[in-house]
Amino acid sequence: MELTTIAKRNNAFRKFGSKFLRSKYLVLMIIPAIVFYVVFCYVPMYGVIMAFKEYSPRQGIFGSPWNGVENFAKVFAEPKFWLAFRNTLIIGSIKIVISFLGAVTIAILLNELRMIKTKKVIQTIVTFPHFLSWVVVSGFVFSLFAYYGAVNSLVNAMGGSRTNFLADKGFFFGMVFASDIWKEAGWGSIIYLATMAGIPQDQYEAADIDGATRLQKIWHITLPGIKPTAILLLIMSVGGVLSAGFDQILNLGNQLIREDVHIIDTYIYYHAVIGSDSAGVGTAIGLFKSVISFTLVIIVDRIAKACGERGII
Amino acid sequence: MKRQQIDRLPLRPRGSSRDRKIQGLDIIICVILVIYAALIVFPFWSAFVVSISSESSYLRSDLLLWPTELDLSSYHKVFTDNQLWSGFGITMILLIGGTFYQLFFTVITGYALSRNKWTGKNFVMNMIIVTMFFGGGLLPYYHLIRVLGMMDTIWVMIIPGAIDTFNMLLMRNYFASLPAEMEESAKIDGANDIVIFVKIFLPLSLPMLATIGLFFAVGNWNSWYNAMIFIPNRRDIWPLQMVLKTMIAKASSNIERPDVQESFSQGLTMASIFFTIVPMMCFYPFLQRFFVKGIVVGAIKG
Amino acid sequence: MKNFKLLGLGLVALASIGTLTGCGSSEYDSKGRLILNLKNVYFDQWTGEDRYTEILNDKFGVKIKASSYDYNEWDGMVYTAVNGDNLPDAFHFNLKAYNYGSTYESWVKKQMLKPLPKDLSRWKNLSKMLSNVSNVEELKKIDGNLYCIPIMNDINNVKKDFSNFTYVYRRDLVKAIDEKNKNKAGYEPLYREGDVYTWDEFERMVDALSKNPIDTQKAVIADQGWAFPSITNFYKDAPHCFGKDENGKAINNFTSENYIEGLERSKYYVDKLYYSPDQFNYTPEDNRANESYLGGQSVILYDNFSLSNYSKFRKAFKKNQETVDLDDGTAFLKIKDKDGKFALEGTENWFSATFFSYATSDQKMEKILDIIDYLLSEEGTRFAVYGEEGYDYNIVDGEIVLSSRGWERSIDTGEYPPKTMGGKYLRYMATLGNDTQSYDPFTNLDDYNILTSWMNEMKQAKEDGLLRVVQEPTDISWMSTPTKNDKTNSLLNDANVSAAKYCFGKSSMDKYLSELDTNNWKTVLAEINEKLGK
Repeated sequence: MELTTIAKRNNAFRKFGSKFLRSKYLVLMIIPAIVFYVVFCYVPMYGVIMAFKEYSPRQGIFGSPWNGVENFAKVFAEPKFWLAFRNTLIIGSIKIVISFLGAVTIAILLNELRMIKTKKVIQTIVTFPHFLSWVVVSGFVFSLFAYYGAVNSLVNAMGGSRTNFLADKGFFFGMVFASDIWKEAGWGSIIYLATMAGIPQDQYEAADIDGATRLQKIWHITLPGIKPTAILLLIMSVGGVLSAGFDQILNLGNQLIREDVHIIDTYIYYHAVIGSDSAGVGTAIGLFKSVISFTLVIIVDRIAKACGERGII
Repeated sequence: MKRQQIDRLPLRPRGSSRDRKIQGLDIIICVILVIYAALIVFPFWSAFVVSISSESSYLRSDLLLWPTELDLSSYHKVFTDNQLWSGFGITMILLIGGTFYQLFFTVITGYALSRNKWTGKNFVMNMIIVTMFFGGGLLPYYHLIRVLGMMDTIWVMIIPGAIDTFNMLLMRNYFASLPAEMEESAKIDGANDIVIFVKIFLPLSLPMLATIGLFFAVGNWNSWYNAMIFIPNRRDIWPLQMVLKTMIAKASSNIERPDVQESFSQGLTMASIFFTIVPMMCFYPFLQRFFVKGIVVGAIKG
Repeated sequence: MKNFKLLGLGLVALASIGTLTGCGSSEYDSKGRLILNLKNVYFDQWTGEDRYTEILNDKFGVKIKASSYDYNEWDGMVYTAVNGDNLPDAFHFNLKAYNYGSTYESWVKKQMLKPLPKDLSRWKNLSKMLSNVSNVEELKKIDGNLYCIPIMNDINNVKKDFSNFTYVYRRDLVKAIDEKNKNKAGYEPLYREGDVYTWDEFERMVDALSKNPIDTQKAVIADQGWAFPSITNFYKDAPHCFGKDENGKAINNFTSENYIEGLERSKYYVDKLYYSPDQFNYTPEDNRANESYLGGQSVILYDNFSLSNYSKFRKAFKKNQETVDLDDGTAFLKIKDKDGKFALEGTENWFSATFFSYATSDQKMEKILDIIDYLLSEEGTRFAVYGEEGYDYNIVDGEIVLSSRGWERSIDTGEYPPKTMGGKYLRYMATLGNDTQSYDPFTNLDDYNILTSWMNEMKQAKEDGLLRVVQEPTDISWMSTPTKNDKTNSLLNDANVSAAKYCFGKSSMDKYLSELDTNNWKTVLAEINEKLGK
């Protein structure tokens, strides 16, 4: 009996050993990645303990005294934080929907366009803004929507009255979505266009025989064709809903509405990174955010799997 | 067959628009798209006009659709600023050296993770996915950079960028989509993994490499955050975008500052913006094909 | 294979460039000189090295490495450096009691700062300056040590405690309106000699300017973003968060009767379109109000008119409004409130300070203080302003004579072409240098004379009891309580936003009052009053 066990164990080792030897080059290739992730991602993770400490720069991360959940208590007691949290959820979820709608609409329109040269030109133009930084885009927004800017002047010239767009909280939220479409819809449409290209042509021919109109064909063939891709992208973006676009919100905001339109990341930035709130508080918020994001992704992934689609985890 | 279909976007009308006649719907679609494209172009044009206008014409008029008074002094200030050219040089270094560096590590990691059944693959994969959600935050990272001696050096803008997880996953998906038979037949012939990678997979994935390389290049061209946080003292190694940010801030701030020369801040801002996007605008139409191919194959095949 | 070659080349190139640009850090440079790392917002017009810096390096046996903060990133960069334990040897921060006093205290308590030596007799000029800094004793209250060098605005002008935040206006337009109407029966001219207006005269003038706009004009008054609503200066008793009532009890200044009166008047001005609707968008960082005035969109401007700002402003005005007489277009507007007094926001005679990191060695600190002390001395001041004796200037018969080698007027502008003066920038670590303005070659004498005569007029008014300096009660200003330290800055910012929202019709008086009666306000006021014993 014992011999068999030992033999089995040795066999297992040998198998493992030979498997390892067979893949030694791959392991070699992966070593830089392991080093990289350990050094730059896992090592700084010890910083999470700062969320439970009263951070003092001279004592460093390890020397600072513990203060339990005091940082969390401080954060949760601040109504501005909950406003930021609420804003983040609202902006993040609406953005997912809107950017999806924008990308799909552009994709459908481009797909249906018959003039080839125009299509190429338009595609080049609408995908370009993806490469701009939000610093540049917000510069455009400020200059166009200023009280005496282009948009107001046009409205004024046509007999309407000027509106102070940039001071309005509601306008700000609208602009967050509109500028997101302006910047990303073209780029996002690429994936959908390619998927549409993969839909077998005979499905359309069959619909022709049945006498379907173009709109019916779009609704019944094109859209279902992109459903798997859309679901996949949806799951991937849910993980980012709590990030909701730090760069964009930071640059589009201004002094007057800033405190009303915080999202979690700008709240951390203005209060803890460049502000005087302690670093422990900033880390506490970050930890809170990571835990919730992770949970959300798991939930959505499970839901998707339950509905029969493939998940990512 | 299927791969060929996805290599480029369809030029002949596909899908439901295969009818011969040009219908009213086509015209409507075309008009909508043209308006949308015009909306994209308009802010660029407007900003360009400001950058070539004189300060007084800008201050007097509301809607500058056309420069009423040409004044190229904003561009003159941009081009004669020494800091700007030094920033340009540094960004070039980042662009060329940094992009190769990032490409190298991201690609080999993507390849390794695309192969099946080797020791530790799942462990590494999970390890990487976790990092997509959890991080230590800015402060421990700051300490790490100091301990590694990369503070105030050019390395801090290069080394920590070695592997970009998202792009690495794209590469992985791409490699995984290539037929497995190639690897199997090469293994039968006695080749090892490295040879297979270099001689077979790499040449086949040049378009993808170019795409990912271009993503990295654009990222390097636009980078400024690392410089702002980790290079506080050495302006001579600041990249271009960082220099621009400070130029714009200098032009528009108004505190009590001795010895400041006057400048047209909006004009300078717009001229600086164009200085950074014009190179991209020139290259982009030609490179667009690669981007499209890359995104397509990487994402939907995953 | 080709790929590998390219990659290899790239990596080699990277490595060689990296070694060139990235060096390790050490206390001494290659020549064995002690390295001094200095950062200051005012260093940004300078690369940190020029021949004057070299002269100082040789004189003191050090290597000065100076770099600047950007004004817009200033707070953030300093906090990052503090939290990341990465402070330079001497750094600059805009400490003012009413919004950053708590920061100062927390840094001291966390031992991030090195105190100045208790015995400063070695540095005579510096000691003399410090003895004239207002409220320096308050800075020592934490543990008896002084942890910073407040940067005095003007070391010769000790007693000036009013700011230069005031109005300029288009005198030419007022005169033009008078000219147009002079033949009307019973017309009372608007323009007042000497630009001094009573409150009623001022309001009448504003109304007339509103009704007789020039073609580019959109409104009448423009306030810099940080100043709106400026006319509350003529009503309120204190400038920022806290005031005192008649019993000496601390109250919320923003809900005091006088402030509310001023706020209502400001709202009236907004409703009458004396302010442009986009005034609401002007942020403290941008220059929109300035641009508006320069473009003829507004005709009265409220700003901080230090000499440098005023000079810059006049230059820009000349460029943008060539047809308008410069003095008429940039005239100071002096307004008396309903009690017949001028009103100016009060200030200490310093605005920011130089701090030393805890990690700075004694030797380094002494060297830095030596340099500062030298630059405050007579000889050092000459060095800062004129340059090197023998090269840039000579003393002939007790008079300063500028050499043509260092100082040659440009033929086009008639002014000296800009050049970097390392000594002058380093002197900003101790003083803003207003004391040298009258003889600095770069000073435009016209600008200087106009500004000085305005300042003298205000000084005289103060002596005659005709200037109300709107000042925060000093005992409250420097008081330290937990919530006050934590929250004052955000309370101030939020209150200003609430006030602006009310004026522009985005809020009602009830909402405004409720925004200024939050738990934080209640707690802070209770803490202050407890300490005051009220």
